[in-house]
Amino acid sequence: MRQLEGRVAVVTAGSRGVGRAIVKAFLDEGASVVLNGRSEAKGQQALDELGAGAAARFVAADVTRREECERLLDQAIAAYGRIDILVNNAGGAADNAPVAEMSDHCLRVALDWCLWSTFWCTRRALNDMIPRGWGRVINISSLEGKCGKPITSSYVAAKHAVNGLTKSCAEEVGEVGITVNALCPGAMDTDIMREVGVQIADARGISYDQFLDVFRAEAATQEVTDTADVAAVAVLLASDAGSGITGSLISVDGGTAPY
Amino acid sequence: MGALGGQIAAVTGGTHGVGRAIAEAYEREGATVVVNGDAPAKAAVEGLLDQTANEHGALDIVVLSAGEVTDGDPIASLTDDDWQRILDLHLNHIFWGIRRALHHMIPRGRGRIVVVSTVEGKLPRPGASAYAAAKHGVNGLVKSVAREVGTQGIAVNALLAGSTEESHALSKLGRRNTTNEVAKVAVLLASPSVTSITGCMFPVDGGTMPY
Repeated sequence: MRQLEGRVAVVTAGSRGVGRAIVKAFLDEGASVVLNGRSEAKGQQALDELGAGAAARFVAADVTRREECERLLDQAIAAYGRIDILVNNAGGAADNAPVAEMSDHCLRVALDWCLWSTFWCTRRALNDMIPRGWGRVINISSLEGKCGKPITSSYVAAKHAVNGLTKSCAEEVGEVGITVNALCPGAMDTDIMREVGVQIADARGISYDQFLDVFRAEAATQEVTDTADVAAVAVLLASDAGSGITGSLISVDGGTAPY
Repeated sequence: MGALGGQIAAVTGGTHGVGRAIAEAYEREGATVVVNGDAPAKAAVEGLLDQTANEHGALDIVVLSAGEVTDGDPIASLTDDDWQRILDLHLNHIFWGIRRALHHMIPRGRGRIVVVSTVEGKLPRPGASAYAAAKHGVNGLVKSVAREVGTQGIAVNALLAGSTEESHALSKLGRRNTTNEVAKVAVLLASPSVTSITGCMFPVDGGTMPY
């Protein structure tokens, strides 16, 4: 029997990158999945490539807005009857700068994208999970949820906050059959990384591969993180066998984070 | 074929408790598994790993899982002999096992080492300070070794589970963790396809540890 047979999952930012890897792994294990993104075209392309038929649906929503988060979760419930697994994968930052020069906008963007979206989606999902006494919330945090990094402080602050939310929420719902965990991946060679990374690399006068080398150099493996490995841990946490793991900040980073 | 099809594994402490659950889970996933009982002695640990490699031609996975919780005495009255005995069981055993495992794994450029530890790797345990010191030491060992061999196809991780009434009382789930839950994570950490997890203190503890 597949590990997620009959489960219903919502994955934010599931069209591409690590979100997509998680969507695929969940579908392979028998779940029905609502994947979200901002672009209807990219969502449709993802559905076409996944080829999962009625087991997958795309809902276009901008998760930096509360009403869109709530609509996403409500549409998932309308489509499949409930939410068993929520993966808060959406997140990012823009206009990074040293704190001395950083704009208010920079911090607001990171907090909206990483923290508020996670809070809004989690609150809505928990109200469906708690009455049924079963649920999994998996927050895709980051290595930057555990470590500082210069000229990344808005993202670092937002991801640390996601980890704090994770631990506190886990204590609130642990005894009603719901686990809440964060995965902390290292840098991944995904579509969004290529878009953002190329810009940063250009600004520094280095190639994209040299940009990735900066991350590789910090890892025990000297490699970037494989999205399939993040998905494998997400499957474990979402499965029945994962019911004993909660409030954890699990590093999937090739041995980069110090704890 | 399971997640560990064709893999050769050795499990210390694999005849009972969580070690046994891991050995059985590995067999279900297609691995060939050789076990021994509690093995604090260096010769027993090294002998198991050498024997496994010699008999099966390879050593892909090593699980180091010997030792029940050892309380000892409060530190003010703990003897040198007890301190040494507890460190042998909970820390030196891990060192001997990792060192020997690497002798077999480094030449082949592949391997998975899974250390079964407990939440006392991150939590205090009054009245069992030697045990807590050993478990904290395991984490430092695992993280350092992971960096030594990280580019050689070898992953080294620790799995931190609750094992005492005191730690279970801290669980946010209001229940004990099961050996099967620990075994499922041990399968993931042993999988040859998973390459991005190393130097990780993987918790299976119901949210007991603060970090």
